[in-house]
Amino acid sequence: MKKTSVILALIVLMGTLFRFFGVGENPVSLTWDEAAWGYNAYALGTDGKDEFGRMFPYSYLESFGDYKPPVYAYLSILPVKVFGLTEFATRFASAFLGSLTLLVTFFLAQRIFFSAKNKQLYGLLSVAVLAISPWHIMLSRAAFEANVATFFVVSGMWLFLGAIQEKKWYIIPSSLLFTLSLYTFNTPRVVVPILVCLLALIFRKKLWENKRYTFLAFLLAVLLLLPSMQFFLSPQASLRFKEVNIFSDISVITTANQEVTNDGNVWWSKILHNRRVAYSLLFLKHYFDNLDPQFLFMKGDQNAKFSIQFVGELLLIDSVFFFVGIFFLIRKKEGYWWLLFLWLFIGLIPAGTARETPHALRTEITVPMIQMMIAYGLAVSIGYLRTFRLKYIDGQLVLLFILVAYGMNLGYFFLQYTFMYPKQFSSAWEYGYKESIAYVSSVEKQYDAISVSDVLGRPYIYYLFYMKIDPMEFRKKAVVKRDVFGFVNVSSFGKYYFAQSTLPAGKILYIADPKNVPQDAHLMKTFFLRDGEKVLVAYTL
Amino acid sequence: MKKNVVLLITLIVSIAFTLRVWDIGSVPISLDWDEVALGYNAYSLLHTGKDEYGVSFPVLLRSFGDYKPALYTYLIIPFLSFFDLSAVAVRLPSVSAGTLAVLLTFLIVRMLWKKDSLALWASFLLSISPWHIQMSRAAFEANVGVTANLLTLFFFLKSFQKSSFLLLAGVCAGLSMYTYQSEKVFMPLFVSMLVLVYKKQLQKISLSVRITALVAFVGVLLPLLVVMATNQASFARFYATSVFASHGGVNFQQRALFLVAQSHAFLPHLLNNHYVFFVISLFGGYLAHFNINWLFVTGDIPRHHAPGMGLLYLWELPLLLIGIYTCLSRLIKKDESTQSFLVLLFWFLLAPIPAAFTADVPHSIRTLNFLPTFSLFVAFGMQEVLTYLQRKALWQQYVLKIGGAVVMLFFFLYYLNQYFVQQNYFYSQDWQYGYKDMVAKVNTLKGRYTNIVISNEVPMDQSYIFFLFYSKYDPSRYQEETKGRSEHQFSSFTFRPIRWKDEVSDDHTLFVGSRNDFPSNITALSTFASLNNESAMLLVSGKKE
Repeated sequence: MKKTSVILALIVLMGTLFRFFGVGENPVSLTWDEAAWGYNAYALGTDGKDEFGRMFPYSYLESFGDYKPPVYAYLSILPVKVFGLTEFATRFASAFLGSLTLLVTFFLAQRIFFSAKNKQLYGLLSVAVLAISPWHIMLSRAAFEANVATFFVVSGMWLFLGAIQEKKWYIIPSSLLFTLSLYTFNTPRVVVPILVCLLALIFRKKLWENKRYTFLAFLLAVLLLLPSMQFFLSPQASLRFKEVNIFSDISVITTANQEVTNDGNVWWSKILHNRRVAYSLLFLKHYFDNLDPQFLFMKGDQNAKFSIQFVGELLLIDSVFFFVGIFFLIRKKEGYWWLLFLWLFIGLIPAGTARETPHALRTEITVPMIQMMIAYGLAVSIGYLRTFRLKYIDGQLVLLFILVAYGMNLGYFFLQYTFMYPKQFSSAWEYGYKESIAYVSSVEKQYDAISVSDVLGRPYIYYLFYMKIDPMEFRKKAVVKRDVFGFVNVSSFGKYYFAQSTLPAGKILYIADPKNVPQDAHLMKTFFLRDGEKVLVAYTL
Repeated sequence: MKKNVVLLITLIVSIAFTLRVWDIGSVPISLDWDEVALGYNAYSLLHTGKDEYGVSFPVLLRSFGDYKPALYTYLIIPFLSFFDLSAVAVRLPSVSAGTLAVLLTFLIVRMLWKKDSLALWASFLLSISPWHIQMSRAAFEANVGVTANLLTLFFFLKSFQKSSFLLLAGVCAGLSMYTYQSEKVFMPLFVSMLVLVYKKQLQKISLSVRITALVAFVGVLLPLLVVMATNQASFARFYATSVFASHGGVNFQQRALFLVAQSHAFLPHLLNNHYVFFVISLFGGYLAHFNINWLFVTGDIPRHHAPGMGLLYLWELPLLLIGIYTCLSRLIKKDESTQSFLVLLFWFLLAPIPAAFTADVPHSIRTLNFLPTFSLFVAFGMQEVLTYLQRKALWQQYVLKIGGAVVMLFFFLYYLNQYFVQQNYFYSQDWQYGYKDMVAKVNTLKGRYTNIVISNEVPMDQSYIFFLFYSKYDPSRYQEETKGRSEHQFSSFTFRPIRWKDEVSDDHTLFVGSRNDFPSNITALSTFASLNNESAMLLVSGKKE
């Protein structure tokens, strides 16, 4: 036991290092969502109101183009208080809870494989492969609320199984954590209810035995969710979903109609080319996209924020043990082996309804299970290879080879991430704002107004963040507009004008797209991406 | 063999043949350029003993820019005398090979596992397999390759009863490499695997037979080896489609190479170079074929699958997983079929290797060697499920079996509709539909113009071969006319890009081009559009100003 604890501590320490080392500088800059989290935490920490002045927002946090589940902002209040309004502070909650996920995963594995002789080995390997998982590292190193949600779900499950196996009252904190995950990210809003209902069904006897605690836990969840029910069911909440979901794709219906026409409009053709069939197929396509081996093991998400492109969401060598793990999980049937599959299959459902697939962020909730499958495959392989001998093949040598392969895979990821990624993919992180804003604040006294183009998207939040604008002052001076969908946008505050065509008279500094500079402009300064491409220019007329 | 087994396999082979030959002349709606090239070269070989480039009895057939194994062309020749130069003649070798593959699958499975029911299921599933039907109904050389694999294995297994069959196995293995590029990688691996797995049985065969078989294998292969060694251009295709080719690289990799080239530091160069990227794409290209979407939902390019379908039926997915699980479990247990399971497993794992070297993955033709392993796994899954059902109450059995049958029937009917009805409408442009009627029309107008200029730019690249094929142009005359010239020009036909601005006033010439070649308001003499009107070929004549 002592040995296990030491190894566990070492692995978690290593994983924490991977998540925290230089997290303020790489990724190179903040996405607008990250800037929004940071600034809202700052605002909440200042006077308990969000950037637009709502007191302690509960159901949602209003942000550009979105109504965000608010938990991440609350979690960041303390880091922002302690470390100031910086990149590091903004990412702290994700990196910290990502590291903590490692620790909880060990204990979760102990509960899932409660009856297994090797459960400690399974746990340690699960933590180890999760610690070095490119997927989990990438998402822990930026302020992705999905990563925090994964922590809540993993801990919630650990406590839920604890209530079944050990202490009845564990179900109450479990319920709290599951509910928190619903206030953290969208994916759990679908996954957690389905998963919990199925688990309640499976463990109905045990839950009935503990009915007092079960009822209290249920009551707690209902009470916490009740104030937000109205919002969850409102059109605003589903707007984002409607934008990205596949069921609004009418080309499916056009094709189906054409197919019926090709069949001469006979009745049986309307059964074959039923739109429900067509949409189910489309759903399956997007669902299975998330299991594409190229996505998992070779290229990763197309969005460079979630993958360095040169390495998959998982390591290449993981592919072998993923398949081995799946096979032996089914064959050996240890503990609640089926939970891994249940969790994985349900976890992919929300991503399957979206147009953009595969999607590393929307499926992150499945990562601990995928890593556990890989770990199981590794554990079985190690057990087998330790004593394996066949003529020229020595099992221990194969193990050494596997270790070297992991070392090379991880080394490649780590080196590319450290040296190539910041340089090549700085544009994926909206690089350019920080430098241009530093310039603006050094010269702004000479100008009457600053006109900022939105070529990089959502400029105002970066000005708030990097200039550490006092939220009370911002709320007073900001001109806020709402688009047809009811989403907010800030068109100006103080002397800053964002993507506006009408500007006040006087001396104006323009921050704009280098491709769109008028001929008679005086170039003041050019800002470059890390790979040397121009990203913004400052000019006057 | 039991009487009802004979009856059933006869039925299955008939189903297979019917599904493969039904309406073969017009579904897929037309011959694509590769099929047309194969057909015309067969025609040329029949009449002159030379291919379109004047090479006598080629081993590697030059087809456009590429040199491919020539066996398929020779297989067309016998059919030419019955069906003339037509779609039917060009496709019948593939149809026959596909039907034979179903029978061979039955025989091989029977030898490997000694179970009639399993063999019947496997061959039945192959006979209705969308993937296999797709490739058996057009002149895909790889499909003949699959049958050659099966023949090799069949004779190989037979040789344990009568050793002289080993000779035939050697011949078939050699011949398979004349069918398709990926066979050149797959077959050597496949044969090595068989030799390793069946070491014991092979040792019982006398040394002289073994050596003769090896000699037969090498002997059959010799002409190919000689030509490959002497003809540098034969590597062209391999190089062009391989991950070696720099243009095949993915965008971000090229960008990385560009960025790295600017620095002198050692580490970035070590991490980002063609060798590293090659190794990554090799593994990635291999893994890409275990993509559920590609197999069951989407397929790859239109010519390789029916619209709205993948390569296999969706209901096969659970059975496939159960089947693979069953096979692996039994492999671990080590019983009398261990060797058979090893063959199945390695066959499955070797199949994607040739495609892994190429850039467009997943690719359902370069990995056609997978077949019939999918049908076999599904057959195992099916048996497992049926055994499981036997433990249930009788009424439950009926309900579940009928329910399953309804689902399977639904997807089968859906497939038939998608393949035989919808495919022509949605994919006619991918099968380069329109040339047949267009060439006939041009030939009737030919007398009125001094020149006929036909575009050879996308989507009409290689248009010359369609003119040769559909006009049944005399091969000896063609070889004479094009001797020593690199561009295609014969009779009054010239194949070149159309630059409409310069040609608009030329009224002696008939221009044939796609919509891209002319301004959108042009009046065409005739239009030959794809069935969904997404692309079209136009006949246009200039006007004197």
